[in-house]
Amino acid sequence: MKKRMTSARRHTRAAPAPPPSELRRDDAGQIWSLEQVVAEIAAIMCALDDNLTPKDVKRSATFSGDLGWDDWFKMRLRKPIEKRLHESLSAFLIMERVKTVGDLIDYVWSSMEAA
Amino acid sequence: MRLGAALLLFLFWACAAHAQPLDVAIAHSYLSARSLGQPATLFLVGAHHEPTLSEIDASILLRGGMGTSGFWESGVRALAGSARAKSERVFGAVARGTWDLNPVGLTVAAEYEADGAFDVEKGVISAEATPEGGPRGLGRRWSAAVPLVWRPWIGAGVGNVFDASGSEDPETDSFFRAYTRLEATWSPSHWEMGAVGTLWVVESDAVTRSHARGTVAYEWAKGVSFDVTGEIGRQPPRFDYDESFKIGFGLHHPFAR
Repeated sequence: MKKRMTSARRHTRAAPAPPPSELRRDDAGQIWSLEQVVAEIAAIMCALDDNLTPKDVKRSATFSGDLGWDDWFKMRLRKPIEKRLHESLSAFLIMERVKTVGDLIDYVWSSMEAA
Repeated sequence: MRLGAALLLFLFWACAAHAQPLDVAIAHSYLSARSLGQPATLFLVGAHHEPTLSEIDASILLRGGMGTSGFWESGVRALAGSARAKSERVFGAVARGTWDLNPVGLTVAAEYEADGAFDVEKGVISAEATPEGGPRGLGRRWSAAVPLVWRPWIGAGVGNVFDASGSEDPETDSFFRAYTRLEATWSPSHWEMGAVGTLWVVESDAVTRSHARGTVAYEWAKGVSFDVTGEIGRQPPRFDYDESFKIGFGLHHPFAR
């Protein structure tokens, strides 16, 4: 699965958003829709940074420019995502490839398996 | 020097050998996250009837993944140029691994550092940590209206002087140094104002050395900026006192831009 995650990350920005009706399964077997994943990620980000509201968490928002997060603060996403979305994300890919909220959503979504 | 350079070359080779994937960055210095966010700079110093002098302050760093929670980095840095005397020049090379140990980040590094004349050469193995989050402004904006971000680091290292120490160098032969560093950035729009301050405590009689650097940068094209930099204090390897104020151009190629 790791190989799939890595290759998915390399093409994230060019790829269109996944169809909203698709369902995927996390590593704990829980079924998610894309909307649920987006909402969960927004909730996690707002819990980490009280400057944010769910409406600030847009796909196009950049972590460094729009949200003002540095690379180390971004690392804090790994633990709650693993706990709530049951996906283990690579620290290296979080730091290097996840530049926007859309990148993060796509990374988590591509880590899940088709339900 | 020979031993340190060989060790670093080996670490660099070992790291690069299993690099998947691999990224490269060009920046001011690999010494801190703040420095990695700053551009490599070239300053030209001119005066009437005087030769034009230059100063370059740059580093190149490679980075790759290492397991799920870590990554490795390896690179070289130089603070050199004809505007600096040989003893004021600094060269370094590093191999280090960093792990996300939520709620802290931990970096373990092996570094070689030398002055321009290679009169002072040191090898240092160190570990440093930073909290990933915490109080307001730590790693994130102070508030939606105040784009201030700060980050503290604390570290310690053991090292050895491979070649003779400078006259003001508190580190002789084998040494232990502890340090703390505070980085802060204010970045409204294209402007960025940043500062890094470091305080070292060296084991011999608990001697302290400090260094501070502040930069105001305006990015006028992607990766190219106009920079005003001031610095004061003492920094490894020689810990000689230095203060300067410079205006120049910066080149910045961060990781995975």
